[in-house]
Amino acid sequence: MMDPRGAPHLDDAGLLAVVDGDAPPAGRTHAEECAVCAGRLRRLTADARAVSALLAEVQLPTGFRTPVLPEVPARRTGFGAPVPAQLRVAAGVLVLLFAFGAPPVRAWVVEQAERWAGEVAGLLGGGGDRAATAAGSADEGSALLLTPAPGTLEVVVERPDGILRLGTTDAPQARVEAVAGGRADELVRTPGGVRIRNLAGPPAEYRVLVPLEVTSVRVRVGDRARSFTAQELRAGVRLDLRELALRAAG
Amino acid sequence: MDVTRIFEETHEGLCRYLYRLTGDADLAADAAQEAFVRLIQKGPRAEEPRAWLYTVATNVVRDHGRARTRRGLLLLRAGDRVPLGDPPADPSDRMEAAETRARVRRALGELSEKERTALLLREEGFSQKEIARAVGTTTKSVGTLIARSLRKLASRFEHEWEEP
Repeated sequence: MMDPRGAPHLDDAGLLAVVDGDAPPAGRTHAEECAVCAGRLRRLTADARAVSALLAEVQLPTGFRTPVLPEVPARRTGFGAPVPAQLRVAAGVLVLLFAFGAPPVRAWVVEQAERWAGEVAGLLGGGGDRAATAAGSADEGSALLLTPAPGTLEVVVERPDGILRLGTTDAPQARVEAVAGGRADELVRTPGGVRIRNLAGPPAEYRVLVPLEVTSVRVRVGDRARSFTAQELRAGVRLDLRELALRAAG
Repeated sequence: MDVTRIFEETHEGLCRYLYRLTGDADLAADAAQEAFVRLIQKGPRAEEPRAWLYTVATNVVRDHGRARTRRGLLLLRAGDRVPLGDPPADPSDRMEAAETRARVRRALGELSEKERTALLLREEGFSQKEIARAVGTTTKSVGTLIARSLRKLASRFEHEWEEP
């Protein structure tokens, strides 16, 4: 289609660009001077305004679970973590010995490989973080045991999902564990307490039991944090991490 | 890349967009959260992180929508069940507002997924070029797509208001 002066009419994309103020000068001029395009433009502008007004009726409801800025560890741990160069060399030597060695050598290789497997698993499982902090602590099954300094213990949770239960224990060490779900999660010691890396997998329930020397526990998700007193800890706390992410307190 | 600044500037609009797109507050919140997790883990591959975030979140919703469709819970029907926005204090206003929102939801549900996404992205201020990238089409096609969606939606409401 052409206007009386021979210029082509604007297509829908061109008209929309005029409505949105993104059209080139030639497009704007044409829309002003061509009666056909000016009519279509008026109609499209009216439609766009009507739709904007309608959509304005749909706003976020109160209590909408606002996302939080997650903290993601800079260093990878677990499967896929970088393997130390010495281990790569040792593994290569073992493979060569197994492939070309006599039967007694092969048996020795198998024995060494089994012994090293445990050490390698320890290194790949985030042991670096654990060894660096909380001296004198040990793990028990899937639970993380740590000896916190008297005062405040900090629990950092990376994703605002799941339930966190807080309580006290007569034991000298704090105990952190996923009591439901959380198979893919990692519990990592930090200088101030523990970090729950729960970025993968469905929401889980965690339990943190602290010795009586700990006077408060501060739970942090992103920039939201809440502290719990010794009295609250003794009574037991059930904290919905999504709720925590919605409001900052204490 | 200042992630905190991006987050502060983007999260509200992203949530609003996702909420309008899905009509489901939980799904919108989850998709927004997932987009920010990916932003930190991988970083935006494009120069414009806002457009990148919206595209990632839209894909998260799309993947979820496919799963829901497989289970027989169609997104299009969600508008009848899911309340949208805050209810006003006055009962009659509340009913009217709820009805309006339900109509908006139904009307959006009658658009194709691509039309709905493009229309709502435009409402958030994205250019035709950015929207084209997000929905996987050309700039020219997306202009046509949005203009058609605007006409459909406006016409749908004209008819609705004319009904007794």
